[in-house]
Amino acid sequence: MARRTRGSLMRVAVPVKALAHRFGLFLLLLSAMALMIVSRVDPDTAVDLRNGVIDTTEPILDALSRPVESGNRIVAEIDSMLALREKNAELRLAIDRLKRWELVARRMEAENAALRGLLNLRVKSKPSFVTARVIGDSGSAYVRTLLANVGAVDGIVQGQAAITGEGMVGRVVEVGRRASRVLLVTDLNSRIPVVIESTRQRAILTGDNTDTAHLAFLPRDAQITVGARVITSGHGGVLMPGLPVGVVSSITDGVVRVQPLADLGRIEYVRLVAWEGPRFEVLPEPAITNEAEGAP
Amino acid sequence: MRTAPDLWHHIESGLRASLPVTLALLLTLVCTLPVGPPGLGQIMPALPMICVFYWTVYRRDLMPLVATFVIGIAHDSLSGAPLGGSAIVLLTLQGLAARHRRFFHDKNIAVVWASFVALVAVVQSLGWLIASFYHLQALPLMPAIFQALLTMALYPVITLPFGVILRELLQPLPVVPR
Repeated sequence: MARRTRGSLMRVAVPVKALAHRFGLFLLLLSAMALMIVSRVDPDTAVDLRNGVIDTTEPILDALSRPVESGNRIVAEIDSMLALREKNAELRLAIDRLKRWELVARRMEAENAALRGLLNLRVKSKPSFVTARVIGDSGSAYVRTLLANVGAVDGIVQGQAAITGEGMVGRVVEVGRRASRVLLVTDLNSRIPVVIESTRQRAILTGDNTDTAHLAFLPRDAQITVGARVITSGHGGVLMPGLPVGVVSSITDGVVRVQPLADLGRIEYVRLVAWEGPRFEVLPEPAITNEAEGAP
Repeated sequence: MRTAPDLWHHIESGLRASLPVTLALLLTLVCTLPVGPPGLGQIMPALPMICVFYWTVYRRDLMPLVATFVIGIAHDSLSGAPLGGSAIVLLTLQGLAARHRRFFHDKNIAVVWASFVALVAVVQSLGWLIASFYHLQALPLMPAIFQALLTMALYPVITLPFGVILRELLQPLPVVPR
């Protein structure tokens, strides 16, 4: 009797288990789809989940990325050793050129300070920087982001610009406790208000998941040449104005493409720029001094 | 009462059984690391695909569907991609691999690899479609193709240690004829 009950139980249980298994796949696929829809409709809930995962894995990623970084550096080191002579000649030329620029810059700095003094203008906002190590990049074919090893505890807030020595690379879109995500300027979702440095024409630098970004909302009669520098405009008050982003690399059929100044493929460190919008103040009475910031 | 060696045996076998999922999660992390020669840029092989496929073929019991789901969500969270996209891709891959599991039994690595190549082509196309739908525009194809090719090419390299683990620490699951 007992054996028969067990036998009939098994006869029921096995197909139920098989059904559960098949249904399980269906159910999980459905939940994944639901999650996608939720993260599309209400991105904030998705951000919390993401930040949780990133914060949990940050120590592991940090530890794992160190040997990777050393490896990358050794490769770069060997690379530069092989091209030592050419590099040397190249650098000599660059130093000559930069020395001339230094003179120009010093003159302009003095002139700038003098003019500010004349105008009694005091710019209150001063950027401050947090330097972060890149502990991860997206590893996905559909997004272009970086993970940096600083977060809310280091004073990072959403919207800050991420720069390297060459120029701006992206901005902070998600901030965890100890890690944050930088959306690169070439990502599909990246929109940066910019101006063409020489002509001061405004545009929106728009990423499209390729290696370059393009300029949107550019006036039809805009005069743009290949090689023109593109810098952040600061419009919208989120990003610091004047950060170099890229140079115009091609203009085809009215589409202006911009090559980022930084090599987005190999970024080891980024600086995150904390900046409060400008507050210009004109002093009550004219002071005839040349001090840029010393006036009351 | 359970004796100490008995308990130890349980812990040990538990640890062994968790190896496939642990390895898959670890390789998901490795995917996010900023490695790569210049020019490769941000494209990394989809290592979780290799893990999910391999363990589904050889030890389906040690790669439960829920684990695959979690691996997918972890991958999406780390990469910044739309949440759920990787989970759908990995679950589809697992579903397809499980369906043809009997076919892989006793086949040599070349056949299994060739099947993996075919399945990756299918699920990567699915992934591209999902991402394009999500963003409501056709995404560039090249990164997706490049990632798929890298994943296909790396299959024998990544699964080499898996084979050792399977032989030395786990037993291949016998295939019960229908």
